Amino acid sequence: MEFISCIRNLPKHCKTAFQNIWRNGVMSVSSIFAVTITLLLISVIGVIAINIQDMTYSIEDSLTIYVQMDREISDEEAQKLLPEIEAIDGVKTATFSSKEEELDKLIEMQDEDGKALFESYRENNPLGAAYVVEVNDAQQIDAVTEQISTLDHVNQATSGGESTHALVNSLETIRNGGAIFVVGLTIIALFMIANTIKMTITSRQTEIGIMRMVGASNWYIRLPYMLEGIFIGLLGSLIPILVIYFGYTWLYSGAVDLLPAMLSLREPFPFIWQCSGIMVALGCGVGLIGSFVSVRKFLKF
Amino acid sequence: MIKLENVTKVYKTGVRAVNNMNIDIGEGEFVYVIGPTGAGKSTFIKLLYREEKASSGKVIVAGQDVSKIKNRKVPYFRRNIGVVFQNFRLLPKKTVFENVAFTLEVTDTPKVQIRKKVRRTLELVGLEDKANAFPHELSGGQQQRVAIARAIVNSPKVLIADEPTGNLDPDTSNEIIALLERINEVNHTTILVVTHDKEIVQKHKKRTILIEDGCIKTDTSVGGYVDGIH
Ligand SMILES: Nc1ncnc2c1ncn2[C@@H]1O[C@H](COP(=O)(O)OP(=O)(O)O)[C@@H](O)[C@H]1O
Ligand SMILES: [Mg+2]
Repeated sequence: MEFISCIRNLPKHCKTAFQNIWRNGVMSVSSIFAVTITLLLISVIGVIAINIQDMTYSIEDSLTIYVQMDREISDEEAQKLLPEIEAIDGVKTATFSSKEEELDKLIEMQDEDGKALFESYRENNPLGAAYVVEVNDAQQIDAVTEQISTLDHVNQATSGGESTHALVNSLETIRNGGAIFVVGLTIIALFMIANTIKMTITSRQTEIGIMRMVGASNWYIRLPYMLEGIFIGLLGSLIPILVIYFGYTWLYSGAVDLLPAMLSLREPFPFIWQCSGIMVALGCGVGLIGSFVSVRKFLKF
Repeated sequence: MIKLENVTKVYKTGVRAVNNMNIDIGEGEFVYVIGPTGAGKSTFIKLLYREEKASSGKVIVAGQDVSKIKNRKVPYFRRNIGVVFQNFRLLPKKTVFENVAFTLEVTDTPKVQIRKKVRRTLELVGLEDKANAFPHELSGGQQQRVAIARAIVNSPKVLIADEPTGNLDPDTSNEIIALLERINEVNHTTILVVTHDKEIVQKHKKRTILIEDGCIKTDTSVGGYVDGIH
């Protein structure tokens, strides 16, 4: 019953909330500013971290195992190995490449003279067939390589050895470090916003006391403050969204020619909308919860 | 209208602010509550609008047993009582009109009604031309009139004023008391005025209750005699 009346009065409460923001001038501006700064920080660091993550994943994805088969066996025999390779734990895909295709690849890499030279091997191909194997998790690449080496008719399985191993490990460290950093920053930022809101509401303790004196129900008191929190969050997320929108599209169009495909930035859309959504949700959510909790303290009997 | 039966209030600190008090105030009465600082006057009226809960005894206001009201229902109970304080307690960011209208808004009164009632009440307290002013633009006496308007706009059965003239000069104080008397006459509201001001009590003679050390020392309605008010 009390709640229904609050819903019915929602337009009035919205008006009150806006009025409060307007009439509290400096206090509101400083809350909005705090939200803006923290969201800006979160979004810029977050966007960078996400892109670095993307890059580390695409680097890892480009890591493959090159499996050379014994050159004595025929393509048909070599192809029989496919199910065995695919059965190994951690193997994502295995692509067969026949002797002929291997020679094509080799010739492709040569200059004019070399091309002619290797073309002469076409009749009596000295190369073996091969597999290119992708793994699910770059961490497993060494183990998978080892297992493939033990299979019959495998001449050699290589993955780049120690250097790949070191690369994978450092990529993992970058990712984890970035994630911890962003999460930590977000928590600090949210505390900052909640604290600012708490300050603005504590300064209105008398106001709440007066509302209670004239017989305002708890929800009637609470709702405008909660809406105010939401609006402050909303207003505070405006500038960060604009910054991300223009900043990221600009960065992306600048970087698209500079960076190799493997290190390319995430497509701006819908990425920007996702970031904006998260920022609005963070701003409003913290505003809402922050004011709810702060008001509750003054509504006890 | 107001009835206390063996009411005692002991604060958490151990202070016994109200001690076994019995009182009966009828509908439409105008009563002064006087007594030295720390006597328990404010505590007594806080018990009436359920700002504090009695430790023991029975408090009945407007037909309701106050200590039996659930926390959730307290806001609805308060709508029966108007309260006025020494320091006015207006909402500083709201205009005079909005301050007075606030009492009605929380009870879901239709807009047209709110406008009508607020205007009529502002006329009653003599502030019809200050509707759009903010509290800080008004004198102390005017602010107290706004506070009174806010307290009576929803026609409460009881109006309680805790030292309403404490911050005002003697002339303004007399005006405020005259206003309260008028409200008592026009609306038949039961009015309780806590005051320190002996001149007021002597000038506007009414039933007077003297509280000392949490007890009722004298009550003029039961043949008490109030003279040497300190
Ligand atoms: N919230 C409180 N907690 C503890 N003691 C209080 C509280 N309010 C008042 N008192 C004490 O109760 C006594 C009566 O106070 P009060 O009712 O304010 O008196 P008055 O209004 O007559 O000056 C005083 O001793 C005061 O210190
Ligand atoms: Mg007092």
